[in-house]
Amino acid sequence: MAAEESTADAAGMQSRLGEQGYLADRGLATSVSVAVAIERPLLLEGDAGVGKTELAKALASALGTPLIRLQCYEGLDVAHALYDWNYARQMLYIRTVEAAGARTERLEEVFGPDFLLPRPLLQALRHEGEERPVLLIDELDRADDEFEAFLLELLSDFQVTIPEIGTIRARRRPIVIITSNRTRELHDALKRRCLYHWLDHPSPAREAEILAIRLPGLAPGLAEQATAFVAALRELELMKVPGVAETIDWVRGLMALGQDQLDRDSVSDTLGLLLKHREDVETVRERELERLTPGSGDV
Amino acid sequence: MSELRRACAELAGIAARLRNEGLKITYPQIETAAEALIAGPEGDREFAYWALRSALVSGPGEGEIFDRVWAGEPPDAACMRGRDLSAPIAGSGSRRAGALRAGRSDGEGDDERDSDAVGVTFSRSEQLRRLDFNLYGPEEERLARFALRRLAGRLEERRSRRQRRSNRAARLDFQPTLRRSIRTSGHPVDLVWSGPLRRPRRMVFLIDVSGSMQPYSAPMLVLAHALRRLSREVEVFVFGTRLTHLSRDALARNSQAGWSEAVGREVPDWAGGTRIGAGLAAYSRGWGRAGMSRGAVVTVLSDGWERGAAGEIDTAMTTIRLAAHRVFWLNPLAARPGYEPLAGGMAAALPYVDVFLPAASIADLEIFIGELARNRPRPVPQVASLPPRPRSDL
Repeated sequence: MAAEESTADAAGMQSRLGEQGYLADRGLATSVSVAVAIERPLLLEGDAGVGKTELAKALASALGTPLIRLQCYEGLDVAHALYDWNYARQMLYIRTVEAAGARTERLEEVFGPDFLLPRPLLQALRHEGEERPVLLIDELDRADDEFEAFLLELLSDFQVTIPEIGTIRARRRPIVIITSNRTRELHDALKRRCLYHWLDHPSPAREAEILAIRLPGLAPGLAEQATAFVAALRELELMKVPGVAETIDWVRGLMALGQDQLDRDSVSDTLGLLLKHREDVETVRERELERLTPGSGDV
Repeated sequence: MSELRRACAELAGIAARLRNEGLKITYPQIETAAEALIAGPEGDREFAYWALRSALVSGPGEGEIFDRVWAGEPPDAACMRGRDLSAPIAGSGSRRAGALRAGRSDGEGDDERDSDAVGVTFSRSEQLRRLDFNLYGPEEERLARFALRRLAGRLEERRSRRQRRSNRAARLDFQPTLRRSIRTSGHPVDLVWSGPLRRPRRMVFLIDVSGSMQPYSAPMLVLAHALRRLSREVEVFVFGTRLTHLSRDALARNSQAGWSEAVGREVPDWAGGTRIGAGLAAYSRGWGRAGMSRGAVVTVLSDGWERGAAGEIDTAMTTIRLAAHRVFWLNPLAARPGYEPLAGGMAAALPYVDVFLPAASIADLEIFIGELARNRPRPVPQVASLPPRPRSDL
């Protein structure tokens, strides 16, 4: 656990992430190390399944800090993201105090820390340890404009004021990773406050390396053939392009069937592990399978 | 220190060149870029490349531009040409007298409220409705803006009415009810209900802004902006030789600018030809496939005159149509008598379009809004029913 990380060490970050099983390319490692060093949020965009969320997890493990995750969704509001009061408990407390006939001063305790439910953003602000926690704001594009505006404010000052308690300031700025699936464009103001990195699908060689790490006992020939096949698939016009997670599932399925080579039948049978839309499976079956297997090394 | 100074000078140069190519670079971004440089090892070119890229780039399309600037390549000639705004663009009606001005003295604009002139008002607004955008003057433009905003409002009205009538039975929302009950010493007197809200579908506009489309793309931008102000889920892209997403501010700016200069400022390829297929494909790859098209109503505004390869439109439209809920194609030429969509680009796209409409006047856009409001469900497209893809592009 390094002390003041104010220098960006891309190579170092790359190897530390690698130790956690996450293979980042030089560009991503640079962006991450810079974001950590200059204390700016990092916005990761890319297709589903390229490893945006995984990066945050790997980073937290690599740095030995806790990962605090805020999963965004439509209708997410401050109460669910920042904090909420435990109303049920408060009411019980009030009733009990009334029943016991105690004096009103006790009622101030109703807004004490016991009754506060800290949600992820507040957890990140109140983190006690010396290290900076990793705050993952996942799929921000699913939240709405108002939440983005609130987040922008929070990311500027890293402090929040709860009327009944006071101002809470982060002791150390969390390392903020924001991911987006681009179902809508985030606001300029937010994008320009963050460092930006577009995460592409890995190259066949890199994906084969990932497979080797995740699937012990994988035959190298199968890895090469499989990644070449998936790479060719990603060039097609599909409804949903398979991500790394799908590739891993698919190859695991092939291995379970005892395959160490790609052949047309096994691929055709297991397409459902790779492609999640019926139309895509049909497209590939009807049009491409002939062209892409067997020996699908190059197209 | 001189090493640092040199790096900062280079940084300033890069930022300037990026702005020239059409990227918006703000001062805080340059600050961030400088901080990033300082944080890393000196003299490491690779580090500098990635660090500056992460600070100055904010979208997948911008990466290419950054790469070009970093490599020191000369700026795209087509981009530079498009940025000359002083010269009026061919086909623009901004300096021509509008058809409605005949016989009218200046300054009469607001007298339409006069009840005596009601009959005159109706026939004038009726004329305006049917007037081709190509023939607009500044006065028509001003009136049309109001009309388009009202039109957008009508769509929202119909949507919200439908919502109220069809909301399912609501459930009690526990948390806010409890919160309110504290005011009444713990007795839940004030109940809060919540139920599933039918949100209007996302709308994606893909607008051709090449020279020939210019009189028609500007009103579309106004309409799109008006819709966006009413219902946040509107995304607008413009394309000519390149696809550009219009952020909320950019859309606002462009819809308020005069119609002859509307998009030129933002889009470096304003007066070039159109590569429709490439533009649509760029949208699909960058945004549509990732999820923006899903369940959305995608509207393309273009005359179909394609400069690129014919097969490109075909493949691009396939992807768009598979993911989108409905695909509209608006073509300003379609209103002309005797028009048939035979031109290569238009013919290629037509099989994938659910609704094909003209878009040359306000009346046409009213029909468009009417169709939007109808919101008919669409059967899931069968792969076999799509036309066979040409083999050449595989």
